[in-house]
Amino acid sequence: MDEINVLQGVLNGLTCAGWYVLVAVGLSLVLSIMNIVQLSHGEIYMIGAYVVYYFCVNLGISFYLGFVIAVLASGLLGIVLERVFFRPFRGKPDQALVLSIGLILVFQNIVLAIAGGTPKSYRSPFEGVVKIGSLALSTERLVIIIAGFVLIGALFLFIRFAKNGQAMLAISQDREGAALQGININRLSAIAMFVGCALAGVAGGLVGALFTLTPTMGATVLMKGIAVIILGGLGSISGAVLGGLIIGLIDGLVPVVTSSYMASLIGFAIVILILLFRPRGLWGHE
Amino acid sequence: MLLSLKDVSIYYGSAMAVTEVTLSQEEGTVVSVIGANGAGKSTTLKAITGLVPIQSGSIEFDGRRIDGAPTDAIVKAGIACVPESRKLFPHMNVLSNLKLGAYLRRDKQGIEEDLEGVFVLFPRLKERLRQKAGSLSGGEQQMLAIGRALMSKPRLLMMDEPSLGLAPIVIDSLAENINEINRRGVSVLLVEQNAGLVSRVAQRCYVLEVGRIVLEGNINEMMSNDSVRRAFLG
Ligand SMILES: Nc1ncnc2c1ncn2[C@@H]1O[C@H](COP(=O)(O)OP(=O)(O)O)[C@@H](O)[C@H]1O
Ligand SMILES: [Mg+2]
Repeated sequence: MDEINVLQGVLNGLTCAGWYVLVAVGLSLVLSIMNIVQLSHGEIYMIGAYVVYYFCVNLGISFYLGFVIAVLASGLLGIVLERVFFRPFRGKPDQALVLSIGLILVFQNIVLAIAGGTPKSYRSPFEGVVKIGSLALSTERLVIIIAGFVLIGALFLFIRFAKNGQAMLAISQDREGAALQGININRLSAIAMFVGCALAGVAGGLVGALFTLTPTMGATVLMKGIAVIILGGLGSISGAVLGGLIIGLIDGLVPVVTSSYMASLIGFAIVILILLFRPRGLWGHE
Repeated sequence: MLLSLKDVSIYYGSAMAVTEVTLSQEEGTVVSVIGANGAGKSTTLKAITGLVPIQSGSIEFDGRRIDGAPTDAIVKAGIACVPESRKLFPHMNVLSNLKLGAYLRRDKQGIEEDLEGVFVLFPRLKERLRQKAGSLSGGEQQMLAIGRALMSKPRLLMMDEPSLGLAPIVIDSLAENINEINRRGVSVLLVEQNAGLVSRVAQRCYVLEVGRIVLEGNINEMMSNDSVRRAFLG
């Protein structure tokens, strides 16, 4: 294990971090604003990737257009989910949880019916490799790191400075108190779902170019996303970023030392260890 | 009438919480509702702010029906509420809490002025501007909850047992605060169990008992009423 390999592992880890954070932040946002563990969030990510595939490969239109449509479609799907499925279950988190499990099956089967079960793939226009000294990182991975950190940075600024960002924080800390200030919980829930799902769409569209697409590809990323938000502290956006960095770096660095099969195992072991000492997660309140 | 409830009944499921409550308040006054625990005081306030639906009857604010309206529309119409457990945003600082009180407003200048007005009323809040709301003392939290409600520039300020858990000396300044707020032109609907506080600020008073109004009148009559004295003056 030499220095170069470790640095290479850090770069790979940052790629994973960007990917996980984009997914986990949406989960965290929806959990804190709507009080729902949205287990079909991985399917939004999957649909994001398939929409890009559809425009890129099936229609042969440009990746960029497909990507923009995928992000918007994911966001709009989020709004529809909130309005049609989750709003009637407000205040009934257990039922909403079961509903979101049902939605996993619905989305997977819709995509299976339309696109079929054979793995699909598409290429992003980000070709080539960026060299930093003797380190190498493919451009498409670099794009994921940059997109992840730029978008999450923008989300932080929104939450910190925009009126509706502050309103979201307020809802997450006291729902009734927020309503009494005139904050429209329905509207903010829709905004949170749009933002969270659009970010999952970004992740799906970019990461989809690295791997093959299958209707069940959301499962892995959901597991990572859930580990990330539990590690970071449930409902905390900063926590999701920190958790994403830690789990991403573990996934990038552990394969340098052992096999990549060990990475997941060691990753979850470290998460469990941290939680033993900080049961509310790294950034959890109280 | 600024506020008027007519024959309002409210149920939680099949359990009656409030029955045929009729109550009215003129602009510029301080009106109080007193009643023991479980009488339906908080439920009545929640119905006015649209947080719980009413079964029958009507609620009018400034001549317009507000029952059935969403809470944000009711806040926009000019009603602010300091709820029973204050419901502050505990991990946000004092300034952010106050600014959220002005969530529906767009007049930057007016918001700044009202912020100064809150600091004149509660200089303590100005000293604690960057402190998290959850780390304030009970008295300071109550100031913040009132200050936040005032930031919406309400015509009617409702308070749900603001004296709860406060030391007698803090209750004294609370009484002064309520009188000052009223002097600034804000009508106040005060829900209380502490008749001492009520007698120092209110002009009219209603007594609520297991969901019904059993007595009403001007404050002097009420405070000399034997059953009120027995129940609320100890
Ligand atoms: N969320 C609720 N669900 C069911 N019953 C409730 C709820 N809130 C209050 N109640 C009941 O309604 C009645 C009135 O309660 P409340 O309005 O809180 O009284 P008060 O504020 O005067 O103490 C009580 O019997 C109480 O148990
Ligand atoms: Mg009460």
